[in-house]
Parts: sequence; structure tokens; C-alpha cells
Amino acid sequence: MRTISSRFIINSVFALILTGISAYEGSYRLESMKFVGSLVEDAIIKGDTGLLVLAAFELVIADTLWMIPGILSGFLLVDVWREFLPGSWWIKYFLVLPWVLGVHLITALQGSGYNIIGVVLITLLAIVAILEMGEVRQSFFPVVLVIFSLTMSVNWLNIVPALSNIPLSHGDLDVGIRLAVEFLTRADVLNVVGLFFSIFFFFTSIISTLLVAVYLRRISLMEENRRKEIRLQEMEVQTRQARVLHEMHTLVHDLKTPLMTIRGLNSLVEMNADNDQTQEYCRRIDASVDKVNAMISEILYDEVRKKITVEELIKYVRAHVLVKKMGQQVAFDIEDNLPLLEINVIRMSRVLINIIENAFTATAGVSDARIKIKVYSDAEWVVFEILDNGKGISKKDLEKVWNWGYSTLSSSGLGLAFVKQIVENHKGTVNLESSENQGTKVTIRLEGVMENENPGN
Amino acid sequence: MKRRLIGYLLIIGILTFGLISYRQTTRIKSLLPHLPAPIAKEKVLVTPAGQGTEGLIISELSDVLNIRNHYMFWAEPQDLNGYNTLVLVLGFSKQGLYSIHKTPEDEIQRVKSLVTAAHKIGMPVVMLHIGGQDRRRQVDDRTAELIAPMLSYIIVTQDGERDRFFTRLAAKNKIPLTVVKDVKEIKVPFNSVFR
Repeated sequence: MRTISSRFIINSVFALILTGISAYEGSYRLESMKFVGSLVEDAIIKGDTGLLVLAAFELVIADTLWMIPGILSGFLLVDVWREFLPGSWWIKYFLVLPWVLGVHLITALQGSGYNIIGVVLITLLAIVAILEMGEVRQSFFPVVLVIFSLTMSVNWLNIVPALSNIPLSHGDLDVGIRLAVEFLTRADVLNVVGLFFSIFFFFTSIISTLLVAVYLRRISLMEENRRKEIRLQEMEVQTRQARVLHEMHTLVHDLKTPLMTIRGLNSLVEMNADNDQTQEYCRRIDASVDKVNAMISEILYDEVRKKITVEELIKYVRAHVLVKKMGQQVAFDIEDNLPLLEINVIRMSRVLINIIENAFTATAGVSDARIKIKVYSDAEWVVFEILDNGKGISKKDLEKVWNWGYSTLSSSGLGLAFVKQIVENHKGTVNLESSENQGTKVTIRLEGVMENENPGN
Repeated sequence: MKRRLIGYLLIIGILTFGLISYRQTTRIKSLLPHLPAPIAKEKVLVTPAGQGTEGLIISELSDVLNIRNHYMFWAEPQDLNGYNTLVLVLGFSKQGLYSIHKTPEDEIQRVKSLVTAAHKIGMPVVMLHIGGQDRRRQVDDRTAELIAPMLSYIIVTQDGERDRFFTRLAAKNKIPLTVVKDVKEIKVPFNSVFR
């Protein structure tokens, strides 16, 4: 659900002010038209057609400037509130028509002499133009340009004597100019001038619409290409990761051969040893080879599980991570008598190291930086909480952090995806809560086991 | 596709709307093309009834026809001295009234008192209406009905006479009426008032 921001309120208030400008048929409007009336009278007295053309020009501009705020306000309101209204995006623009008719009704109630046809015609043509521009239009400028051109086009038709039978939006002064030009028998001049400008502005509106539509289509095509490129990059990262894993597996597997050689030779040395100390050393070597062998198995096979206490796991993690400490306060809070974990130790320790390292990065440069690692039990679950007061993650990034290849730190973007995969393979859950500039909390829940339970593997 | 289809249907609708709104001009045949004999004498006082620019146009037209006249946008009963005919040009203009800071009611009162004064002294009163349908609002019709019994002759252009309002008004008050095609054709009946 979208929230109403101050931008919505400001734009809506602005739209209502625009409506007020058009709807008020008062002294300001009449005052602004006064000079047109004087020009028409001068033209009649002097018999000067040039003055009439000038008066027509000024009248069309003044009429347009008074008329367009009312139409623009309708489009602005739909633009602002579009996402809150039900139905397809383009259907909503038809709401502009009743809005504009409402504004016209208010002016009519104040005794305005303007006909309704002109304003309806402009609004319908503007709706077609705006629909043609498409949904992705962000700027309001193209709307202003198109409505200005269409209004100028229709208002020029008002003063064309040959079209005086079409009641577009004749006002007082349109009638005055038409009568004056009939009296001066120079209707041809206004016919030519009026039609020329009307057609000129009409084509301006068509060209503006087409240019904006083409431009917006190109932008959306570029956006689509960019999305495809990102998807391609993500796939490349996944392929690279798979290749690296495969190489690593081969490499780790190859370690087993020399390890077996060490074990074989060690047993020979042990057999031939004539004192107890040498035999003891050989047994220790053999035990270490066992450990390394087990670790190799854990690295190679995700499904390999081992029972381990939480303390042992944390000790292993601490040995790897705390050397990188960069001034942050790190606190461990581990509950007593926690259940055992049956996990792939190597992989699960990498999970915790990964998250703790992220916490270090997030708190780098933050004053009074604190990282807390809390482990507690919740029924049969063991819960790991890694909290930091670092820079956090923005809302829009939060949805993508689990994706392979996504990173806000220009890294490989594999870390959290790996974390999620490993935890889920252990039938556990991982959850991330974060607010920008406030910190992050990662919660991992793993099922605990009793000491006498058989290991899964 | 659906959006585009609706757009095109809208354009067709707009064109149909335009065609429907087009007013067919039918030539109204006037029963009286002009007066058979003059009914008034110069000098003429021309004043608008409603402050439209038409008043000025008729004054200029009188000059073209060499009819001695004087144009007063706010003529009152005392201004009738020295004139033999009163010409009223009906057409209420909001802009015109605003420019002299008067209301439609002020204007109706002025016109009524002026015509009554002219009627009292036996001065012929000629009313013209040339603004067409755009100058046929309620206030115009009300003023015409108010002064009709005191009028001597009415000239109207056919654009403002589609509903035969002035024909009925003239018949009711037994006033001669001439309907002309447009402003250019006013010259003949207007000249016939004096010559």
C-alpha cells in the first residue's frame, strides 16, 4: 500500500489553485480583456483590419491562458492520484472530462458567455494525446505543451468568421471581432489568419505528442535492455560460481591422495617405532589426518553432518573472524545448556563468519560501533542473532539481498545467497531485518538435537 | 491495443460531436425587406443596449450612409434634446458593462427610461440586433420584451432569429420588422428609415 507523501498534497493544492484561476469569472479576467475591447473599438472607428488581427491575436492568447489552468488541473490530479484509483491507468484520464465540465459549469453560473463545445473538444483531444504518450510518462511538461497547443488551435477557430456557425467557445469579444470584421468586409483576412494559426497549433500538438511518445518508447526499450543485461550478468555470476565450486571440489578431493599417503607412511613409522614417544606422535598425526579427512568430507559433501556444541562452533568462528576487528565493540552472549547442533561444521561456520564479516563492513566508520552475537534456545531451536548498529540496508535493497550476484558493496554478491542456501539445507531459517542508518539484525534458527540421537549421516 | 481502439473511437466521437453541433444556417425570408416610407428624421442618437460593440458598428455604418448621428454609450433621457431619432443596438456584453462599471440591471433601467422618454415626446425608436445567437441570452430577450411596445421598427440579422423571437415580438406589438442575412445587408433597411 503506497503512502501519501507531501508531494501528493502539494501537487493537489496546486491543481486546486489552477482550478480556481479558471473557475473564477471575475474582475481579474475582465480587466485582462479590457485592452482587447479597446483595440476592437479602435479598429471599428479607424476601419483598420490590422488592429482587428492584433485584437484577435491578443484575445486568443488571453482566452487560452484563462482556460488552460482548469484543464491542466484535471490532468495533474489524475497524474498525482492515478496509483490510488482502481482500474487501468488510461481509463482514469477520462475522469478529467467531468472535472473540466464542473469547472465550466462554475464559470457558466457566474454568467460566462463561453460555449461548452470548445472545452469538451480540447479535453477529449488532450485525453487522446496523453493516452498516446503512454503510461511511463513522468514529466507533466508534455501535457502542458499539448494542452496549450490544442487550446490555442481551438481558440483560433473562434475568430474565424467562416466557422461562426460552430459554437466552439465564443465569448463576448469573439462576437465583437466577428461583427467588426463583417462590417469592415474583411472576413477573408481573419479566415486565413485564424485557420493558419489553428492548423499550425493543431499540428504542433500532434508533433509534440508523437515526439514524446517516441521518446518514452525508446526510454522504456532502454530500460528493458538494461534489465535483460542485469539478468544476463546474474546468470554469468551463477555460472562462474558453479565453475569455481567444481574446481574447488576437484582440488579438495585431490588432497585426499597425499593424505592417505601420509596415513600409510605414518602407520609404517608407528609399526617400526621402538620407543613410546615416537608411537605417541604417530597416533597424534593419525588423529589429525582423521580430522582433516573429516573436514574434507564436509567441504565436499553438504549432507555430511557432525554433532557439535554451540560453544565449539562459536570458538571455531571466533578464531577466524576476530582478527579482522576494526575498532568495533564485539559482544558474545551465549546461553548455557544449549542443545547440540547436528551440522556441517565447515559450512555452517562459513555462514556465521559471512554474516559477522558483513556486520564489520556495515559498522566500519560508524562511531560507537557495536556488534552483538547472541545465541539462545527457543523450544527445540537454537537461535543465532547477529546485531549491529551500522548503516543498514535500504527498503528497496532489502528485497534483493538474497539474490545470487546482488550486492550493495561492489562484491561478488554471493555471500547472503550462500548463507540462505546452507541454512535451508540444514532445515533452518534465516531472516534479515534492517533500517537505513539504524542497523541490521540477522536471525538464524537451527534445530537442536539430543546427545543420544543418531547423526543423520 | 484496447487503449488505442478507444482513442480512435474517441476521435470519431469528437468528429460526430462537431458535426452535430454545426448549426445549419437557413435563409430566413423577411416579410419586409425595408420600410416602404421613411419614418424618422436625422439627427440620430445611437446608443447600445447592453454595451456590446455593435452600437459603435451601427454608428460607423450610419456615417457610411451619410446619416448624421452621434454615438453615446451611456445616453440618458436628458441627452435626447437635439435629436430626432433614437437608435438602440441590442446586445449585452459582460466585458462592455465591466469596462464602464455597470451591472445589467443598471443598463436595463437606463434603456427603459431612455426609450420611455423618447416615446413620450413622440421620437421614433429603431432597435437593431446584429449579434446573432451569442447575443440572445436571457437578459437580451428580457430587455427587448420590456421596450417592444415603444419601438417603431426592428432590424435583426438571421443568426439571432432562428427561434423567430423578434418576429413574434413584432407581430404582438404591431411593429415592422426586417430580417437580414448579415451586417452588410443592414444598409438598405436602415437607410429606408430616413430616406
